[in-house]
Amino acid sequence: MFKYSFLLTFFLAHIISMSSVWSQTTGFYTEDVSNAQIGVQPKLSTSKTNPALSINALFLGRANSKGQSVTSEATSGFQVQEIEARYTSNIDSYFRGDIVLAIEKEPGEDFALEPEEAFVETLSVPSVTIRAGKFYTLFGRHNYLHTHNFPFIDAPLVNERLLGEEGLNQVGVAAAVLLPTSWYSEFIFQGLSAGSEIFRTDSANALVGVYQYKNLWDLSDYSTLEFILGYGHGENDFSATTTLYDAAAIFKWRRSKESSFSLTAEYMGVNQNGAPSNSQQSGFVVWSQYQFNNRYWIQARADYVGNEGAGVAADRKYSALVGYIPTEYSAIRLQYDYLNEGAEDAIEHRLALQLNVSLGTHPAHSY
Amino acid sequence: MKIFFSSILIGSLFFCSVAWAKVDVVTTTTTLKSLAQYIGGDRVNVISITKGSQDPHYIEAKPSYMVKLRGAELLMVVGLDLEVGWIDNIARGSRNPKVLPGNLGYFNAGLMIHPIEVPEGRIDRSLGDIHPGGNPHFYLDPKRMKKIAKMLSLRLSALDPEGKKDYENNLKVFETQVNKKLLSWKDRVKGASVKKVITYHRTINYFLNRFGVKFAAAIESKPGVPPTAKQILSLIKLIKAQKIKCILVESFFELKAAQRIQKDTNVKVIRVPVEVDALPNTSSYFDLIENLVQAIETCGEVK
Repeated sequence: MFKYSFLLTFFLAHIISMSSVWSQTTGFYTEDVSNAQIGVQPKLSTSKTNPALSINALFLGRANSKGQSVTSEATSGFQVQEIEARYTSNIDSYFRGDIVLAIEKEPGEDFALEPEEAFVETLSVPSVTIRAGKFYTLFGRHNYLHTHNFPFIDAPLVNERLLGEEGLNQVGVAAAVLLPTSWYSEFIFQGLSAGSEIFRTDSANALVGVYQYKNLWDLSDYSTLEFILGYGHGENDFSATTTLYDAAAIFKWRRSKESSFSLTAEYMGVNQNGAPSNSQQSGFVVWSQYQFNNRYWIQARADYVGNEGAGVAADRKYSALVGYIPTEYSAIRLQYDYLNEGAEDAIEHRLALQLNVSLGTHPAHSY
Repeated sequence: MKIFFSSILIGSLFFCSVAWAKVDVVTTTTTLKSLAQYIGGDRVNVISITKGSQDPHYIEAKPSYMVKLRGAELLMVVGLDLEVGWIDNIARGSRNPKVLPGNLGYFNAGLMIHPIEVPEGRIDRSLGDIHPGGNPHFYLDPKRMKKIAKMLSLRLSALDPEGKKDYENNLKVFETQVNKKLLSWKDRVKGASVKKVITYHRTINYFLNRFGVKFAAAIESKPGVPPTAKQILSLIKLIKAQKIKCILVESFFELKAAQRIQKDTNVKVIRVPVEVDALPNTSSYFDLIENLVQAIETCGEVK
């Protein structure tokens, strides 16, 4: 009896699994059923559910006219600029996780490992992506980029001076809403805990608000125009408020994988109310990238940072870069900088050669 | 009474004017778009993210693509890592959970066919930009496309049950047309008596396999890596030794290397489309395959 009921159950299960009604009404299973029919069996192994891992390594050779000073931002010699490991995966059907660990060596210090980003994003909420964790603040064109994605070897001067060497990177929550317009229009609200150079260094009970409004239009099949406006405010160490503001415009043209051009202009300012000196700073950066064949890029950048509050001369920097990018996984870039730090009345020439490699998962083509 | 009749009249007018809502389909390539139009017919609105002239592997995750996908009910991708660099960013960025993998609105065609050239053993990037799941250009094989068409008909029926009959009929029409054309295409390719061809990338291997033409070599030294001078010299030798008549250069690859080879041999260089709308007169899937068949015929005329 037992034997027959087992056979009957098996037979019924078989009928159900092969039934076309099942495969049509629950579309979820259509692929599996028919893949089984044509012999493509899904191979499930634990390695397939591991997070995607990619590692970026940046090696630098530098020379600068100021020589071997350990305090200089660009010490001459060879160095590891950064090693970055990124793990990313869907957690379940509701969330996706992203963890970026960076190994870096500051001049005069040992190598240190730190979580650069660690956040979770929603997958199942329509029209909005909610992000929680530690992440680069979405502010302006450059702040959210990882070192290996920088358009130049270093960050623009205005980012370094106004937002600090590491940029804005805090713990908090962000909601990115895609507005129902015919073009790309996105508003991002960010509630972050303080704890950075420009807001309160002690993050307890201090919340920072940063907002970004981004619009992008297709000018033609090959070109786009993008506008970004940003604003941020929060308590600072002087029991007053720091405000941040930013405006950026980006034009991009890309005819094919062999030729492209972009022009970016960004203005940024910070007011540190209550600070004894240098409470107001603002600056701008303009850069352009031109790809003239499959593998070669030339780029130029001009930086200007004013020091209105401090009453000293402005900092200026001009950079030129040649990039050789043989595949999507490696790049060799040579950059020259002319730096005039007005406040110190010193002119510096810098040269840097960077090897930028990526191991592991296929990199995403960010826009 | 008057009110009763007028309300019926207004009601019926309203009913007539409301046609069924169309299913919004977004495809990554123009070739998938053409297929979706054959199977979906009048019941679907289809847009393709890439243009026929663009190599779907090297696309940037342009935010305007997210807007295209925002209201879609179905996203069709080629899969097998062809769109690996950008489609996930676009799908997530669209903030439309319906089209994310694992949902009814995500259709990964690459999972539904038997791929060729699946690399065996351990692979790494020194082999070039290799696709671990196999060659992703299966859409140039009409027989495999029949399989995708069938799956698409099932999927559209699940998304839009009222249109089930239409999708089934459209599928039948498509299948009949493929079967009919396959016979004549096969005869024509056979008649051209072309044994081997060289291509720039391994893009048309599924087509060559289906019609019994051998793939002799690729111009690029490895997938995604342009040819070296040494590679060009060895191709010239190969063409002379094996009497290869032509090089088919796919629409989004450069012609220079092939023209360089042409100088030293009698080989004919033929530009071929590999996506719908890649070149003039390739506005549908059947036109696309027709163009490839014609290219083989042109190749056969080379003395």
